[in-house]
Amino acid sequence: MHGESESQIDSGTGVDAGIGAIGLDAISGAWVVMPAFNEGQPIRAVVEQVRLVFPRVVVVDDGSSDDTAAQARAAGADVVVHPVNLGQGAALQTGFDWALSRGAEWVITLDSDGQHDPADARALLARALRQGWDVGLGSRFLGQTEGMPTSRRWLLKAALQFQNVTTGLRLTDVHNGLRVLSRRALQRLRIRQNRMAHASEIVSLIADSGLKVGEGPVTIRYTAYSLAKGQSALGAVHILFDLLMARLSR
Amino acid sequence: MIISAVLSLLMLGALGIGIVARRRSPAVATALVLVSALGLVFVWTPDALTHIANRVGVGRGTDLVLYLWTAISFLVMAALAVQLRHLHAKLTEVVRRLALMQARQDHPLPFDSTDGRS
Repeated sequence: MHGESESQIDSGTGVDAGIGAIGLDAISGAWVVMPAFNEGQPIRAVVEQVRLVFPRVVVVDDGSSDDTAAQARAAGADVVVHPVNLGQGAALQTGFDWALSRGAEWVITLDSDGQHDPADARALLARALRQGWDVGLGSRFLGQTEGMPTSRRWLLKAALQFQNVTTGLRLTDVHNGLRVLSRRALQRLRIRQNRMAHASEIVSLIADSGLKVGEGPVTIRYTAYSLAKGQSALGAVHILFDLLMARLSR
Repeated sequence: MIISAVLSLLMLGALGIGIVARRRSPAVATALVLVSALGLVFVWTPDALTHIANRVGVGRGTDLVLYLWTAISFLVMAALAVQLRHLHAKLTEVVRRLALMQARQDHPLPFDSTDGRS
């Protein structure tokens, strides 16, 4: 049984009303969760940028061997450190637990490498509040992609088809790290996939939960740094395997 | 004779391990006990093995052993994989709890705050 969901297809550019439209209440009740693994180089600048929009940020250092934690702390984020590397999914769930324990009404997930624009997150949150969604998902195909390699585009489109077929939702993007989730949504979801399959797991949990979900445009900045860390075709196979194993061991 | 003796010792060893480990991992232990017990029997009665093989449509006793070995190995690996996943899940919970505990020390809540606003 799949829950009700709406996909708001909009050809806007992602620029939306400012803080006034959301209200300070929503901003102060919002926590940004950023999983990070060896992002010592970009993370300080990224967190400082994010905190201009959302002051409450928690960086989950997933067993980094560099100074990710120190850099994130210097930028003013709360830092939760996994003593060993567990995976981005695990780091996100830890971040969710932290944010909820600090009274978060909304959680925003963002990547730590600078691929995401916090203004897009604010716009997505505004949209979610207006439309009464429990979950807002960022879609690069509704927005802009700067410098996306063709092979990546094809891989994503294929993955998107797979996701839409298996979840019954009609989304326009897949494995986009920019999301907004209400407290209600977080209380219903628990990520069990530690590694990259978590992105698929989140969507399928949302589909099964009856939560209201919508999409908004976001810009993904592809730089040499972020491309080097991105998903490969082999990674996709690994994800499919993880999803299959989870299904079998239920 | 020597080979039979060596194999018998190995089978008895495996049988012993299987019995000792039966509580820790019941699935693997059961498989081990079964396989080593059968192995022990067939080491001393190879003709019986060939007879059984022929009955099930396999040419040689050794071929039958190979097929059974493959099937049992697959099942054992599947059981181990499931166990590994459970271990991973437990590890995650422990690591997460540790991480959050430490973070609560690093980032204590201000005492005069009632709603988290600072």
